[in-house]
Amino acid sequence: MIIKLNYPVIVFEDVWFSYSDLEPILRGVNLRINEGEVIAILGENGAGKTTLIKHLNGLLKPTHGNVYIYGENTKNTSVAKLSKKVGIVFQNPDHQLFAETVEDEVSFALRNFNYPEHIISLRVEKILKMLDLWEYRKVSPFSLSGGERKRVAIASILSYDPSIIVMDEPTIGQDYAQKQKLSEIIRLLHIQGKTIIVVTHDIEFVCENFPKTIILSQGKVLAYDLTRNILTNFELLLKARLLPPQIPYLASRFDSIVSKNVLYVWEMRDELLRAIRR
Amino acid sequence: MSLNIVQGFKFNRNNTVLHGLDPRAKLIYIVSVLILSLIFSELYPMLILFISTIPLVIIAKAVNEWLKSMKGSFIIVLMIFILNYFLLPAENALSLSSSLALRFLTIISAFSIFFMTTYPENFARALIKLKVPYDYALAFTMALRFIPTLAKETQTIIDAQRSRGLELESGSFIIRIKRFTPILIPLFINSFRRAAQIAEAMESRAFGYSNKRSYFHELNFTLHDMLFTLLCIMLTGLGLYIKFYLGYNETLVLARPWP
Repeated sequence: MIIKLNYPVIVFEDVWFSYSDLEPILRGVNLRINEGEVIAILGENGAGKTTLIKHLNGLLKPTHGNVYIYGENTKNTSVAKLSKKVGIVFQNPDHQLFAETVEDEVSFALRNFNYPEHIISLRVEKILKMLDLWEYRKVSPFSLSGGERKRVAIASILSYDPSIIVMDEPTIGQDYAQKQKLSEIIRLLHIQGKTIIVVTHDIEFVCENFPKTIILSQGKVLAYDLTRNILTNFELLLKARLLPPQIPYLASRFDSIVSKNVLYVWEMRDELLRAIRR
Repeated sequence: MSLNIVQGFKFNRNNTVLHGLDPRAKLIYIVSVLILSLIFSELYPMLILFISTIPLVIIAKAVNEWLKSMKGSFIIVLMIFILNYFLLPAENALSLSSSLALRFLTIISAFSIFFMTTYPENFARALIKLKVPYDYALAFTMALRFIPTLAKETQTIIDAQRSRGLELESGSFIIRIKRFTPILIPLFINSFRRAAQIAEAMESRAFGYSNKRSYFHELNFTLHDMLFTLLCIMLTGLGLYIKFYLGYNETLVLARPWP
């Protein structure tokens, strides 16, 4: 498979959005996201993150400006049509789980998109095994734990194989092992050439998994850059009310002997060893 | 659209004379409006009564919200009007059916004014003062409190299911009803869960520890409230006088007997 680089699949052109007569939530967002990019969206509560991602499948249409998905203006396309390309996993799984079994839940979207039965069963099996949910396939989703319900919600989107995958806070309620699993899945999806956008507050998770980061603050894109440049720029983080991750923070305390843009534990180790040997 | 009507019954935080009135005084106002609108079924008194609610809306600085509640009840009003107009076997059906439609609007308007200007907590306090058991008063105010939450949650659920390809706009009536299952089930389950959580959270803050409760804010009936109540009672008395003593009456003018 050939991954076309530098082909923008998501374009925001001066997007403003407000609910009827209230204060605008998005204030002139400009974005170009290329195919196959893996991007984290960070930002304080109320920065407009969830509002932003709801524009990706046309659930919300901009009150001013345009959003293009694969070159198509969301204003002229139905949510169902866009959803086939853009899969959004919502923050709270309880807002979507309704079926009697996990299997039915995961095949809901596939049935809506009229996939044939044999393909549905194949897809469901593949995705449930991938997310460690195969043993629960005949169980009611409501009897599962919070973290498992979250994974069922993720599975119900991944099952129909959208080419842009958006997740709102996927790490909430997941233990370390499941977070690792999620990282693996993100990597796997990246290899498959998917465009991945994840909204999160988990800055260490961003550090480990996302090459690029968008910082949203008060409805504006404050920064859109390599994660390394963003997470080591403390001024920027302070402005967006974010706490720097541990390693860059430590590096700033050792700024006389360690270079400033250290992001990972192993980089820190190398830098410190080099400093000690000197 | 359907959720807009909620706006007209939601407490707004303006600080006006009406907001400052004791809920009990405003309850008396509602009772007055109810009495007056039920004893009269003629066009002019109804019109006067309906128009009399408008200055209160302006005083409460809630014209926009009030308009939403009026707009929201439009379909019901239209139905009242049409049904009465065509089914009443009277010659003056037009004036009668319009006064019945106006009666509905007047009552909606009065309740809208009440709920827009009464802080739910104060309403509960008023109910308790009127000897309603605390549990019931609390249940009532909590129900009011959760209407906007539920409305918001419904929207989120609709968004989540539409993101999974659920079509709500197309198809026949039966198909569309069926498609609401994926929305209703999460809504119900979340409501039950939330109810249980709230109960636990309340019990862990010692709810039900003793039957004797003390209140941080006490309601007191001020001079304003007295005057307002007196005005309401006097106007109701006037209405009763006109109706029953002076015998103001515009009875059905039967055009044809019932079949």
